[in-house]
Amino acid sequence: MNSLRASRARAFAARLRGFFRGQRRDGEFEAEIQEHLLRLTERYVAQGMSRDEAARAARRQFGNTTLLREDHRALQTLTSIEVLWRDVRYARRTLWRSPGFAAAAILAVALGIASATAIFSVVHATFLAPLPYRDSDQLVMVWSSNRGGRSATTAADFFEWRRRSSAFSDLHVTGMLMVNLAGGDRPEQMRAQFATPGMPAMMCGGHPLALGRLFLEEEGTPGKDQVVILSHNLWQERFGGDPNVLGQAIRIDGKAFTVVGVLGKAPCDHLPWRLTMPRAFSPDQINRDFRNLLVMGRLKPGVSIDQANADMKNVTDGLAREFPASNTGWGARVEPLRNNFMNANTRTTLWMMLGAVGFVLLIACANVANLLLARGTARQRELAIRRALGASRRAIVRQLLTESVLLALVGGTLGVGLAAAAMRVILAVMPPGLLPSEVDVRLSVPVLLFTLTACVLSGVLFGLAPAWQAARTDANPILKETGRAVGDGRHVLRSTLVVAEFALALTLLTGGGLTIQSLITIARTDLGFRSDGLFTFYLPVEDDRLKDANAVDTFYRQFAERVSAVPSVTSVSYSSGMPAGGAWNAVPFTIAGRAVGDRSQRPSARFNQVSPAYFETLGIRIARGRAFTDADRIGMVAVAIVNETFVKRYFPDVDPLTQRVVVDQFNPGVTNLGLGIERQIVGVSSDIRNLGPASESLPEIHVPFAQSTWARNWIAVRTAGDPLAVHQPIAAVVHSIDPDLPMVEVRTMDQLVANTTLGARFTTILFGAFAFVALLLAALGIYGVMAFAVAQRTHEIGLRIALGAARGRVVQQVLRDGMRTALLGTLIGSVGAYFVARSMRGMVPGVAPGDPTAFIVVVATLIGAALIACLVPASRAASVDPMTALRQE
Amino acid sequence: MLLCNVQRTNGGHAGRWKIRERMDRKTSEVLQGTLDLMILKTLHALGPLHGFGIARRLEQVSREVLQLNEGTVYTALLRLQQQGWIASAWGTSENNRRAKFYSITRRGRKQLEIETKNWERISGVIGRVLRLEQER
Repeated sequence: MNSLRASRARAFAARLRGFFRGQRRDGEFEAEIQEHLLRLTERYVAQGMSRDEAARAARRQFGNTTLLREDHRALQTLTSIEVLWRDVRYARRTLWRSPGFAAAAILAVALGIASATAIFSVVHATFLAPLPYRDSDQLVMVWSSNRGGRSATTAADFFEWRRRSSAFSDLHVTGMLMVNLAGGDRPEQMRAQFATPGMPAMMCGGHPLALGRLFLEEEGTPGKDQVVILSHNLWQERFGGDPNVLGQAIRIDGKAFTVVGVLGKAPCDHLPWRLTMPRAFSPDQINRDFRNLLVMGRLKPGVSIDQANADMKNVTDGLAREFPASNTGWGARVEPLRNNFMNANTRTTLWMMLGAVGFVLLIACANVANLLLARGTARQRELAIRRALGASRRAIVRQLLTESVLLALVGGTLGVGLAAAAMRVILAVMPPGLLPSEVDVRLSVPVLLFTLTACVLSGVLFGLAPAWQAARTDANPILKETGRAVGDGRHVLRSTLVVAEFALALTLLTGGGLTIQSLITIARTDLGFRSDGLFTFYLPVEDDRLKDANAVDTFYRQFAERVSAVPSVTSVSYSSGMPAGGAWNAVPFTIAGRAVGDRSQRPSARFNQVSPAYFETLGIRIARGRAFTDADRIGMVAVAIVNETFVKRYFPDVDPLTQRVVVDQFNPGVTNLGLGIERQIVGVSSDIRNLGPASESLPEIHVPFAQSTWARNWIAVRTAGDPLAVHQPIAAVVHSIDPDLPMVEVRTMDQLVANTTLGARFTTILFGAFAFVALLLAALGIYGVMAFAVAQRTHEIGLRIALGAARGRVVQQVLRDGMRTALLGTLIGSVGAYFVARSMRGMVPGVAPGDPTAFIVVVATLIGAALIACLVPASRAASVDPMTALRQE
Repeated sequence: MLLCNVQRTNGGHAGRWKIRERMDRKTSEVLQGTLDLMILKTLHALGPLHGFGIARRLEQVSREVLQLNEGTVYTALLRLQQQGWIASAWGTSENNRRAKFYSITRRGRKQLEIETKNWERISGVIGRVLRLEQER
């Protein structure tokens, strides 16, 4: 059958040529036909017929010329495309003629498509778009894991993994620290990456540099590691893009580093750090005490994550056998790099948002379908005439669907514009760190393809019901009727659509209501400390600067004294950790007098080294015992204060003030923990919500700063007046001590606390926006249906009023009709709302499961909106003048 | 007697119309193949000819057994042109009027050969089958 395919191909090629050339040569063919007819006629005349008879016989013998012309033309072009184009032109004309309808439909579609596009672009950039790194699927994070949880790794373990594992082509350590970059008019604190020398090559590959070179392997040893690679934007901002920066020395944390390279714009310009320095390990740093390294690696080609996990299990089992004291129970987990640091909440939130905009889009489609159905009633005559003239049902349906898709495409184009604006707003208010830094949210080609598909599908979806209705209707009765539209399975269909809209809207609104309720509850929670009137900042004093513990203590004590001298300051404190401030130290401990089983299985608690004024400055209540005083110094009895959660967990039935905890000693600048020190508990502090109102309280151990110093600390200053007013005087104090020392993270405590709820507020705003749009669309939907119904039944209403019905009853009936639809929708929506509430249980802190407040409020709002939407048509029904109504047919 | 009416009918009940169309399409396909072959043969034997001449020849050759609407010849001519088996050119007819003349191409001659062989093969088989019947 090759010849058949070949001949079909030739025919198609000819048609394609004809379509593009527009060549039909109608005139020529006409001439041919006429000539043929003429000769036939002459033949018949020669046989003896009259001219007329001959002409008729000739035409009969020739056949239907109209059909022949049509077939001839059809053979020479691609009919389907021509038909489609004709449909599109016709659709454009009809839409142009009813601008009100078109505007309403386009607006509804635009709202739906805009929300869907905006959220999909975020979801796509986060989950679907490839990471900018070379072969990013092979990049993995390798965590230590213990009892199911994941944790950082020790240096010794890392080197053993490197040596023993066979699943990775590269394994590197990465870590991020804040460092001081000196120079210029002000020192700046910024994020820096410390990584083993091969790391930039592993991540970026190819030609990642704009200038210079990557690290050499030897630069990973102490002494040779004073080199640095700049990020592209740091090079531009701080060094003006000067190519002479290579070889220059810059001061980081007080030490000189030579610039050996500058990263190019791609692929590594999405990294969250601005400097990269090699991580050098001195022999005593390669220990098993501190778990503070993040390990990133590249799988060997062809190795899967499961295989890598199996391989690492062998390695860690071997390590646990050889080093039982430190490594028992510690395994390893290999996970893909993508979104590895994103918390589960963000992931769930994003998918929920996607669901929410899906609902909004569906509601918008239902709205437009309703509009189309209403318009369909008005167009019944036009379509009936077309059917009578020979249009097949398929042609009518095709025409109507073309109109719907055209509407959807126009609305979609407007929607893309709205989405672009919305995305700019979203990105501006999104809390930093919500999404990984590699996420580049923009209207990329896949997103636009998604929008196009969504438009076409929506167009078909909302066009289907009206098109099917129109095609099904029998033409004859319509043509016979002189004016009034034939009713209506349409009203049932439209009411069903409104019911669906309300159900969807209720579900969405419930989700939004729950997030709002959660936010309100959070805002009212007692934090456990006083956040007002507090000025805070972080002082990143370099470890090398102060020689020993005594020097550190003296430095900070004198610093606090000088700051107290600033007017309007009432008290000053310094501590290694601060509520809402950031990561705290954590330390393993034991209770004195209790048997210690396995040292590696010791519990750990939050650890804070605090000045004596800490509790007073922050307004933390001491529930039992006392706070620290100046008497708690080196050489005196080692003391500690624990919090109520600690007591509840570890001293449920003993008086804590009689107990002692054994805590390993922190030495500033050293990465080993020192020996354990027994500390007498002298007080119990009340719980604070450290990570913001939504967080739970964790066990804490506080020790006096004088007995356990730390170089980089948080300073909290309680002021009498406006906290920010003391910024300049304190900055002057810092500058006079050390011009290279920056004040970092300068904020009031109120701001810090507000930051902790940034994520929740962002989610609530987005959700609330979508819920509001859904409410608006649903209300408009029900308004449209009721208004149309009233307009349709004006005649009947006029009749009723003329026959004596009270206007009040008319209003009542209209309202009853509308509210019945709304209530049915609300009822069905309650089922969806129930499921939404259940699935959101974990994500809305502060709302007890089964708390119906949000649901009740939402239902009331929805019913209220429906009532208002029905009032306008109802009042219009009431004001119908029976005379005019009866006169119109 | 093959009575082939390739005219479409309009209106009527949808169901009946569909079946009619399908039947028309089947018969018309067979007819198309036969018609194409006859036109090619005509042009091959008689040289370049215009549409009217082809129709007359067909009428003559089929001894009025085959009744066609003559207009269908033009549809066939267009198809043959698209396949590249015939070519067309404007010229003057025998009564001094302008007419479009069609002539067979080299490819058309090849196609004619193929189709003729096919027909002879099929008719041979059918002949043998029928003779079998007679022998019984």
